[in-house]
Amino acid sequence: MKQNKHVKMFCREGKYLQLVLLLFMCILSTTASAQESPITGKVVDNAGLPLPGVNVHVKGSTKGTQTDFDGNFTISTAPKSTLVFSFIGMDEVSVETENRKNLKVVLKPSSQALDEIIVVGYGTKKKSDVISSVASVKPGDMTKVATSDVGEMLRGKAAGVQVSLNDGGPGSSSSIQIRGKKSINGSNEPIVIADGIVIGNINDINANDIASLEILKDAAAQSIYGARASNGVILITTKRGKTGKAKISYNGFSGVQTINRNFDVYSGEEFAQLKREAYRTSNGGVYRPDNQVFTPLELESVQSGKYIDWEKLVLRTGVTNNHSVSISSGTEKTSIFSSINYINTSGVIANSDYDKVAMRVNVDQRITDWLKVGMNVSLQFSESNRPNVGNILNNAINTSPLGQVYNPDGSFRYLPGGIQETPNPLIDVYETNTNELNRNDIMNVFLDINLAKGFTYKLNASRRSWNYKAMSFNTSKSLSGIANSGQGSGYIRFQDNVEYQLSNILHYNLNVAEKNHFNVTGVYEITSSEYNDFRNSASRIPSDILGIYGLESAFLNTPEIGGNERSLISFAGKLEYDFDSKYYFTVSGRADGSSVFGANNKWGFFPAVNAAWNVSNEEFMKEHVPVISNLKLRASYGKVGNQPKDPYQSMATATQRDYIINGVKVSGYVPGSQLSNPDLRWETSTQLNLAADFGLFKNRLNGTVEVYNTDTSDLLIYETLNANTGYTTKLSNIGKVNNKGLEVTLNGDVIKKKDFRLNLGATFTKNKNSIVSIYGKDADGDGREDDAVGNLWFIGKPIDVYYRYKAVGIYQEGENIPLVTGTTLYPGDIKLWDADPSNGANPNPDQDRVITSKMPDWFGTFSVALEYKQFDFSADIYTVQGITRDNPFLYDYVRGGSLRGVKNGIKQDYWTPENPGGNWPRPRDGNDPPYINTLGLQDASYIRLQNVSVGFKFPESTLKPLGLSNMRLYVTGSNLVTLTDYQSYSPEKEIYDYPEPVTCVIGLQVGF
Amino acid sequence: MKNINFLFVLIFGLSLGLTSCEDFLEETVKDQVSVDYIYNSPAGLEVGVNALYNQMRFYNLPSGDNSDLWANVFFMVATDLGLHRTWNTPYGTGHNPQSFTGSKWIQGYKIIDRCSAIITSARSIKMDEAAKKRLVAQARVIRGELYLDLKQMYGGILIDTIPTTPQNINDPVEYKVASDADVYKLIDGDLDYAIANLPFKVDPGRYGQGVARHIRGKSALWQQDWAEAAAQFDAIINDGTHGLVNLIDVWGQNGNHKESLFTYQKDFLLGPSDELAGGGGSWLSSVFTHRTYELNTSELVQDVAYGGQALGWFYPNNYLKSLYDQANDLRFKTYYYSDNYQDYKINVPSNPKFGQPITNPAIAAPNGNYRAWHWSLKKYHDSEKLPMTSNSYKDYMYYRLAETYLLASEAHHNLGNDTKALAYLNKVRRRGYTGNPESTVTTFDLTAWTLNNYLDESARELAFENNRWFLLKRLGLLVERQNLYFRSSPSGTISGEVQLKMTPAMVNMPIPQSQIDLMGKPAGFNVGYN
Repeated sequence: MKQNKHVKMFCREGKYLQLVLLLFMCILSTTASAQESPITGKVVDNAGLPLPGVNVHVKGSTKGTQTDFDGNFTISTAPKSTLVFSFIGMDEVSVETENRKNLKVVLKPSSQALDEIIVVGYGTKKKSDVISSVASVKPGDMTKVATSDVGEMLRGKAAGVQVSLNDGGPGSSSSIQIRGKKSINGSNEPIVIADGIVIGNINDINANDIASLEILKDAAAQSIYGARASNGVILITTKRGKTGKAKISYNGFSGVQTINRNFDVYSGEEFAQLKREAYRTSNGGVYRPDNQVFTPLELESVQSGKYIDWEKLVLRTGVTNNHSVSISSGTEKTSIFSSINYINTSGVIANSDYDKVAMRVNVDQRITDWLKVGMNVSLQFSESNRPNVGNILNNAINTSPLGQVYNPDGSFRYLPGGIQETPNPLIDVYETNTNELNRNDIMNVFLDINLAKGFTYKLNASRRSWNYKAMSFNTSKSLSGIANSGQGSGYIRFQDNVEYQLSNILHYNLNVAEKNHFNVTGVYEITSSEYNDFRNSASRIPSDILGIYGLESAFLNTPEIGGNERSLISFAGKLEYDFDSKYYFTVSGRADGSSVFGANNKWGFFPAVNAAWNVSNEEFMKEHVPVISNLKLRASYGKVGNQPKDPYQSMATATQRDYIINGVKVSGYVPGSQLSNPDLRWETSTQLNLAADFGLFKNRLNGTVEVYNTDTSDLLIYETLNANTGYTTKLSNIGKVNNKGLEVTLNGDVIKKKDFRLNLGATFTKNKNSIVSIYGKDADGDGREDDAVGNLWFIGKPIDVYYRYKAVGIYQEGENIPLVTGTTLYPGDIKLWDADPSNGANPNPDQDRVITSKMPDWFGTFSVALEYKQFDFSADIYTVQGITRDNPFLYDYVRGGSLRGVKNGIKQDYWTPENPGGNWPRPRDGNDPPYINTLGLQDASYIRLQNVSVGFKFPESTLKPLGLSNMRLYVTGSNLVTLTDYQSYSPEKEIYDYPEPVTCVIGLQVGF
Repeated sequence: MKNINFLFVLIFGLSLGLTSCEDFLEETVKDQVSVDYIYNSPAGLEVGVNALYNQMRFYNLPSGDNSDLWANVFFMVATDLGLHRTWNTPYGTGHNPQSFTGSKWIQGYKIIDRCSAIITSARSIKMDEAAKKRLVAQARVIRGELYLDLKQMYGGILIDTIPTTPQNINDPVEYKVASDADVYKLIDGDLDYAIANLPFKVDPGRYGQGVARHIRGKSALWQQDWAEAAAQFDAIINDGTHGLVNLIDVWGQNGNHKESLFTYQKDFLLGPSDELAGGGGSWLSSVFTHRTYELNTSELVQDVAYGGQALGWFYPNNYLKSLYDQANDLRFKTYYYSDNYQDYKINVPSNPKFGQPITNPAIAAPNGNYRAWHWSLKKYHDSEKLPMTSNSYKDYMYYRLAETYLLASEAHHNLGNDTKALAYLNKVRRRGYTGNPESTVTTFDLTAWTLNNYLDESARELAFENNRWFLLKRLGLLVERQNLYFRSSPSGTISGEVQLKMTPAMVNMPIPQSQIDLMGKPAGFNVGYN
């Protein structure tokens, strides 16, 4: 039986094997060798120092070697052949042997950074020729962050890119926002393109495989991606095999995780006193005897002084491991890059863990001088386990510390304090679990054809698939099991998504009279994808023996099924021209036809223009202002789109709503609350971008300053309809949002000596977001467009705001307390801000509510990189300023915020007659203090020491005997310190969310 | 080079020619049906009507603990018969357009629109006329019922019988309060059509002539058309399809009995959520029930006999209790859980006194705890409920003949026929005292028809059903009686009981401020609210 299973497994993987085999069959390397003789030589740098580890290989053969520690090499080859010398950071050099037996080769450092190759839409460019806003993130800087989330690695690495964590649990991901929030109800996430293929999530790529990562920020750079580009584009290129001796690298780290908090909860004594106070308030100000306040179990705690620390019982120290091995090898004709990455994390919350394996093979094969084929295959598998409690930390904080954790027999006590509202939070940590399996496959085959000089054609065909399987189970002993009279429950869910993409790309390069450079790109692309979702929920499974596999015996199984298809056809083009690398001009555009657009609006067109002047290439600059080594001024203007997130929103459909007639199920269908929109189309963002790139003192101080102004119109908005139409929402293209911003990136090589280098860098991003228009109506005739108050959209204010009454203090005894409808206020209750006290004490919703933005004023980073002899040190500080968040733990009953003595919560200085200085309302049982929800807004600005890394590179003398080319040992800490006023485990998360952990790891990088 | 060109043309041509753009970009929905199907075919019409029942069940009996539940519980409890302990506070700081739940307004208009779509589109569907009329009649009962509901709750409402489509959504609309005459004309038109086209005898779960006449009669009462009301109610009573059942069965486990004019159907096994056929777990059985198992954990655990897992958010109050002849009126013991501790037996198996009455709970004022011990409503008791959950899947009787009798009594009194009015009143009362609907025992009969007699009998029979709030409002007594008798005790003690002031404006529920804003704040709505 077991064998059979493996056979089946191979069959299942057969599809990939077949493709891989096919490709290898194409690869027929022909190496005929003539008479050979040994050649020796020495490789040095331009200072004359020997260079170890330089790849030496014979052109046109697979033969290769490396220099030793003294820069010497020996290789056998035909008397007349060409040797190629390559080394990272140095320009490649080819030398004709011409019967010589001994060679001396000098390698020069790679031309300066400006000649780096940057990936742009459907092509690459020298950095000095890039005239749109493209931010490159160094892969080496990314992998320094000890996390499994690529999004988290990008945080603070580029101006204009804001990263916030979705959920800090093991295997989590982040949301990335480029240049502000443009869409109200559409997606605000950039598209991620890896090796020319749109992928689902940035984490579908192993961070260690990334050769370059570029972020396209302005319309000129984005427009070639048309209707999907307005939230920005992230371009990832993975590593490829290099000609020469195989190179094996290992990078790995292991470490521990924990979490920090900046608040206190009430201790056992304090909570008991809070409860007494709450009961006292509703008892006319007279304390009630303890036996009336506390249940017998609680009273036992109060009398014995033995309290429960739930947080301690729920949290643990997490462990994280990340190991990555890659092999790069290649001959003249064939090169292969392959890698494997293994990640394993046990979360800080008990019973949560995550495992992930990522594998990649990138193959290139030159078939003839005009034809090259290649294939990239990436496979990822991940598995995670988590208890089925969305708010474990929440329960850990707000479960009363009074009572007993265990029954006398050692099992968990269902109600530790005998109170129905606070069951034992540990039960579901251990008695529930969701096991999720993800599989991500990305495969593409490409063909490069040289049609004529300067004229190339590329075909890129890809298939990307995602398979998801979740098995969730609550045992008979879980809280839901108890509610179901000791029966388990759970669900099993399968989701899959397959996307095909076929791109045809034509490039034509032409130089006229040497100084006129033309570049033409044409693209035709089709994409189609299919999504399926099946879920079977099982209620009341009589036994736990098989877990969710016992669903066949469930009292009731409820299946749900869903699925959709979507497709996109695109034509794109770009014409670039420059004169003598001084004056640049580009026109580009894309036409997208998308299935998700309404029947009346199937095609959108997105053009852009940009121009630049490379001032530093002018002769007068070189002569008169030598201190400026680089100065480029550029401007761009263009349109990009954002297509609706979900398919079928332009279609009028009815959903299944069955009923029972005479005890029998009858079928029912009815349209939902959202009205369809046959005119549905894309959002259009029109962006003007002005920028200056500069470099001073031979580029030792360099940077970029950019300003932009983006108007996003035809916003995808869930327009709120008047309910008496029978519909409450409609996805419409209305309104306009503006984003204006300033981005500054600075980088300076402060000290640049052989043994001592110090680099400082900083980014600053300020984005101002405002709603320009929504419905365009002025019903009240005040000459100003009406706000959409019901949706909290205010003209001239940011998209995301709070609109609430504001607490300004606590009423004191003897104070004149106004009468309000619906309640009586007493000393110790919250005093609200009143714009106009003369119009009565009742809070006036039109006048007394205050608008508060949820958007940050600015965010930025400061980074230090230092190298001294064998040691290196780097640190990043990240800050977000001027942001306000709502903290439900300050007021919400279920979060322990409403001071009723039922749930524990964040400790506050509450008012009592004896403590009139308290800034929080007087506790009362039974009901929440009036207006307590006005206390929720808190400043969530923060400064975080995001990443600190200390490394030690072993000297050559130690490595030589071991046969290693390099070895670095490092210690990295992530999220070590966070300074903020926001009371939570993280200023970006609510307390009940899984917070981003503080991580400390020890790592090792080795190269063979 | 020839080869290359060929290859290039082949690949580029192939990929271009693969699809025609139009077909490729067309959308076909996989997992939902098109609206055209529902409104343009006989089978579609039928499933469209079925779904209306599903929507109505959500409107009147939603699952879980949320603002939809509150929208229903409010009308059950916020009267002279109610006592509030916790959860939402009636007429409190949440009783305003910003905070009060808009569930009824929003859901109500949604279903009205779907009814209108069926009523309108049916005209052009070719099918058996009788079958079509039966389907349309059901949609028209629902529309009439909802307009009457909204009218009663909100006072000033909008009317609109044109189904909304993407094409007409942006047509100009003038938002103004519909006149009473227009509203009742629409309601009566719908219900009269339904009465003409629906049989009395229908399958459980479906609207029949009985419920249509019952609602039509209520509409007539609001219009003070006593003759019409009496005629409608008499027609139901005289038809014979419906009749009073034994007292024990009225709120028994089977809600589909003769007395029911309409009962919402639930069945865990047909899918436990509001969206599915079976309907989600309702919390009604727990909201009004005390948590006896918190009295003394060594004596009592959750037991379905005592209501199982409970909430105790609202209770019947002492005023209601005072209305009962506790010794003789059997409804006191049938419609409520016992308030005598000796009726509760120790059920912890390890307790040596297993099966004996529990020890006297500390209910003495002022230190009792309403959460664990208070006179509690048993009407929504579900003997099949799991003991450790608040979810109940019991059918929910929404309209019943006892109310018809009582309303008919009021109509006949206003027509000057007190003999008939008293006969109807005593018909219900005798069943209450004897348990037998056909009882001829006259010992406990009321001998004079007075408003107080009528209101008290109605309270005894229909307390905590969806009747009292509307009855008092119609009679103009709601504010006065509410302020006299309704009590709130957040501390859960007798000494903590306070009055919550209801202002005269509150007889009309607040329409959600967001809706007022969307309409451009037209005059006439939410009068008396900020």
